Amino acid sequence: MTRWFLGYLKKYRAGLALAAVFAALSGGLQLAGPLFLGRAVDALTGPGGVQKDELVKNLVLLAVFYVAGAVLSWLSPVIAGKTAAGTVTDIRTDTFSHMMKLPLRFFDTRRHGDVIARLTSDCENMYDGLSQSFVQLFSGIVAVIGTLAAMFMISPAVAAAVLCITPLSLVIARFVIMRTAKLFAGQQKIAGELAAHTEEIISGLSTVRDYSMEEQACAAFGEINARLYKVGRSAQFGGALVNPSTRLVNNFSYICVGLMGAAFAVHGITAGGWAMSTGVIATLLTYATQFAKPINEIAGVTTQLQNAAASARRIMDIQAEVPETDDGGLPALGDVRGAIEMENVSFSYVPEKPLIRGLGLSVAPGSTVAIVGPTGGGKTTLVNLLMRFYDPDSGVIRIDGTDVSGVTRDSLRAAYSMVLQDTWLFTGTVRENIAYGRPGADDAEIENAARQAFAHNFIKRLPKGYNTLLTEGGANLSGGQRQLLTIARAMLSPAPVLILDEATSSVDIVTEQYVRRGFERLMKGRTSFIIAHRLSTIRNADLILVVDKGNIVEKGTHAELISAGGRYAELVSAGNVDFLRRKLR
Amino acid sequence: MKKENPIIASAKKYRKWFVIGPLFKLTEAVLELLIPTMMVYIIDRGVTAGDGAYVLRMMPVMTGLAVLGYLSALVCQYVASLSSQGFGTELRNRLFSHVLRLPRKETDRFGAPALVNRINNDVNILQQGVAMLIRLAIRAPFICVGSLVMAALLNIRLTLVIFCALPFLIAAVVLVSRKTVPLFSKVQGNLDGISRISRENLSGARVIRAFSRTRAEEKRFSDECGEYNKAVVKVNKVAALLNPVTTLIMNVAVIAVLWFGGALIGSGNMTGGQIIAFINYISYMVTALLVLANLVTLFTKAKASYARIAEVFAIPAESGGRASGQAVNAGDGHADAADAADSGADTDTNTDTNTNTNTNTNTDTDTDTAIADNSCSGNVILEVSSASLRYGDDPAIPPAVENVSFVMKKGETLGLVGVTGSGKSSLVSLIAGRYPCSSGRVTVHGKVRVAAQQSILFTGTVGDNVRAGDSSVTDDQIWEALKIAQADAFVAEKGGLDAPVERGGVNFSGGQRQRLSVARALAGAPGLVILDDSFSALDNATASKMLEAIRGLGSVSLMIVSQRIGCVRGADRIIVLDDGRPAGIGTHAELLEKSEVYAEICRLSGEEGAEN
Repeated sequence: MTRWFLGYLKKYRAGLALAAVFAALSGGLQLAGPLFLGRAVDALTGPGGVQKDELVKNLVLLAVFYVAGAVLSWLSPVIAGKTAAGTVTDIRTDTFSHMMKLPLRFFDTRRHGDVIARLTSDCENMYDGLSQSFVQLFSGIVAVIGTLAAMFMISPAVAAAVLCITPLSLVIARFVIMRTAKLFAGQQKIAGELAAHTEEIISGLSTVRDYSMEEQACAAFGEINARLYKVGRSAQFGGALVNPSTRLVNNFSYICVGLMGAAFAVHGITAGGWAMSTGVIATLLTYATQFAKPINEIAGVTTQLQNAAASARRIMDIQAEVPETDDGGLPALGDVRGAIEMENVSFSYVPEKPLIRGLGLSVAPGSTVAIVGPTGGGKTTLVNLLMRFYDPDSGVIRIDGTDVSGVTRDSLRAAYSMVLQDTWLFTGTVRENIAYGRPGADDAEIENAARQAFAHNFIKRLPKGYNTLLTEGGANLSGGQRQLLTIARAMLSPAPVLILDEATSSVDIVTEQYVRRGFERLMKGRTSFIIAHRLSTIRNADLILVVDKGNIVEKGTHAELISAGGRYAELVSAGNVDFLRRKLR
Repeated sequence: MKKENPIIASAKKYRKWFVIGPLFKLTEAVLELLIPTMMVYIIDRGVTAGDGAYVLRMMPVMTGLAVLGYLSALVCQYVASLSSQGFGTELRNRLFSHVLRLPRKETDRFGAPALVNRINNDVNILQQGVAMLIRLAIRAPFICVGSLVMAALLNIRLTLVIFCALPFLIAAVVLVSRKTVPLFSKVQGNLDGISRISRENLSGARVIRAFSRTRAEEKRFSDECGEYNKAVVKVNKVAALLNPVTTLIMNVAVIAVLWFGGALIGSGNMTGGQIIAFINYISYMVTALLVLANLVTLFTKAKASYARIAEVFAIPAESGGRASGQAVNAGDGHADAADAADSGADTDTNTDTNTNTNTNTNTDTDTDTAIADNSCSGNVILEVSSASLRYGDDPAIPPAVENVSFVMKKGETLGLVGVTGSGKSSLVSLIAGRYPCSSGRVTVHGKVRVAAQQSILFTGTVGDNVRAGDSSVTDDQIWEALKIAQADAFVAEKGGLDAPVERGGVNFSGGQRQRLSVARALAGAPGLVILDDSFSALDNATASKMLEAIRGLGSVSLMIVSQRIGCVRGADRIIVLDDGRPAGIGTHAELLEKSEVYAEICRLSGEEGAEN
């Protein structure tokens, strides 16, 4: 992991070094302040009364140190922040680009929320770790060592006392954090549970109310909430112990330094250091407070760095996924007529569960192929293989005689127009969504595509027509409207092969007929694959494939299959002869 | 009747802690402020006057003060944890239960994510605000003022330095935070953008690849990242100013104190110990001021959260009649008498009677009284008379359902057809009581169980889901319902009624979810069962098997809503909707004769009515 991370930091090493130097310098300057402060105090309270020259000298020096310290302690986090932001941006875009090269299996199997979290909050953790901890670590270490050294120089005895007392706060903080870590983890877990329950109930609110499940839902909520209260109360109290405890320790060391200094001064003890004076005591008091601060900060930094490391691991995990084979060196697929051939193709999503075995299929250019069969039978798998969303485990797929694994994926996919049941729209205008496959299309073309998809009428009635902004996923449209937009998208960039996977499942029957006519016009001379439940859509296909358990169990035309009296005939009769008609008679 | 603010009410139980907590915190602050002053005496009487015994005497006193301060702090922290968590828990319960009782129209308006956000994030922010209120809101200003007073007691003339520095300090804090707040919200916006583009790319992977838009998406993402980068660097530049600037101002004040202090010492008006203590108080004050600045940001956030939560509470909840899954609505405003009382989760008792009659009406005089006269309507399950439903208040937008009237008998099978947008689901919503009638009335004599268009399942077991909160439903009845819905085979395969249902039912396919949803509608006491487009994810063979099995039940009053003529054509009667208005009611054969809309739908779906 370190090497991976250092690779990213390389580009920014100059900035990083600068930030480190500045941080160290500002840490060092923090040391000088109290020293001259003490001298200034002594210039005021020394045995000879107020020594004006000495005072002025020290005050001017103090001013210089303070100003320089302020500038440096501003610059170092700014530079570190810039470096960190740049690094994390690189990591983020690299991870995203890598993700875009991953096989579709990644998108189908990973939990999307989890991947998003890696691209957002995990990257944030790394930024925080890098920008804040970096500065704090450097200035902190310099300050701690420097303060300690200075205190030892002034008074070894006082320094030893401070060294004994102050780390106590670290020990206490550690102890409390260790004891409460479990509580916080538990709180996080229950809060997650509560959020999940809330989300589930609120998004299913209509069903909850249809079945009067409010009481039940409230009771479940109250139960989780009560558990959250119990653990939350303890966790919050545990966490709130840290500050007062460290404050107590710091007060102890403050008192100790003051008393020791005073005692030394009264009895004239030097104990191997400087002679005590009011000014020296002031210096020591400031050092004592200054010493505690970075120590507590470094304790915080360690947790932050641990978080960042854990996040880095989660991001690396995505970058470690094996991408699809690089097809950069392969030729592009030229113009095709749409002859599709599958030869002895076998495929499975999981090795233990073979799905397609030894599939052979030959489709003449321009023909319409309907794929029917029960859900989960492998219809969509065929589409996945045709478009190379997945590669077969063995066997060959050819388009116009060309092995598809020998051409670039982009050029192969450009030979297909595809409409899926799962309508995907992105945040943008209606126009941008229709023109997704052909970003250069002009308004007339877009409108024409929308007309053919029977979408023009409803688009016209949207608040801003084609310029209406669709919220994420097109949530402000009905399911049917969303589907019509994706159909318009396919209409705008016609390709030699058309794939319709339940493309009209959410559209009403009347609109569907119009859309179908549009498709028929579009499909003239094109090869098309249609997956549908409605038999009326399927009846006129040139070839009907009945797919079950991953294999083509029957193939032929409607008439052939009906007269064969097999699975297809069974499906058709089940669909055509419904019980209600029989009931009437 | 004056309605109590539920947010305040949630805190009421803890009001004594709101006094006790800060009191202890105040004690701690006072003790803390005393320590530098004691140091003055040690230095002046001990060091300067050479009294060693005094120094030793002070030791236990100061240590005692520190420990006492610590103990006070602990008490306050405990009180803060107890009351803020308690307040949050109670508020969360109240808000959740209130949201579940909001009129459908309002939940539609907010949208689920906004409501979820309010229940979780906003309540958490308020809870945190309460903790801070107890812990710091009193302490920080007190330390500020206290240090000033203590400094003034040491030397009133030197406090002029503080008064000169104070405006600069406040200006620095105000300027920096005023500048960073909008910058931070821009950063948040960019981060939302990154997360949105990620999500779109994850869910749209197929389409993006199909259109070879991978590179364009990469650019879109890296552009957003670049914007984010710029914003972060900028905000960091400004935010990083706060500490150095305030420290610098403080240090300049310290230099000034030393300078003017020199003159005071020279004239015998001040001692060295006092100068040290004075400097100490200045640093106390600056630290407290920075805490105060953070508090202001936190409370601004908490105020926004408070407003968001209050907005939800301001909407009166629906009341009564929910036992049958039917909200009884009586127009606007006067049904909310009970909602203040039942905002707690514990006050409602579920009157789960099997036969009750509910009226969904808008006549203001006819309030929540249900028509329970079963004797004269014993044969009727549903009466719809001149019912209309209008979603918005804009008269220009035509109603979703307009003037629909019909009566449904017990045991009857009724079909409901129409194209998308013709008002089928809106009519179902009226019958299910999800919305009040805009005019007219809907009366149901019995329970309504709807299998909605979207099959929503909940985390739990298959049994819990089919039972849907009705504890009177036996396991046998559940299996019976599963069998009819053609779901028994896969349920048995997954492990029976105890088979787990994961969040949103993701461990079941779309078709399986739909069948479970139908089983849920069929389980339990017979009443009115509505299947709203419940066949869309099923293949024809399964759909017709299911319909056949439901027919076998006989006693069920069934309403089938579908776009497929095949699913409704054999119903006892079919209602055709067109643009929200009834466009015919009758049998399949009758409608083919007299309803143009119906004939058109039949023709287009290839279901020629003539073919016997």
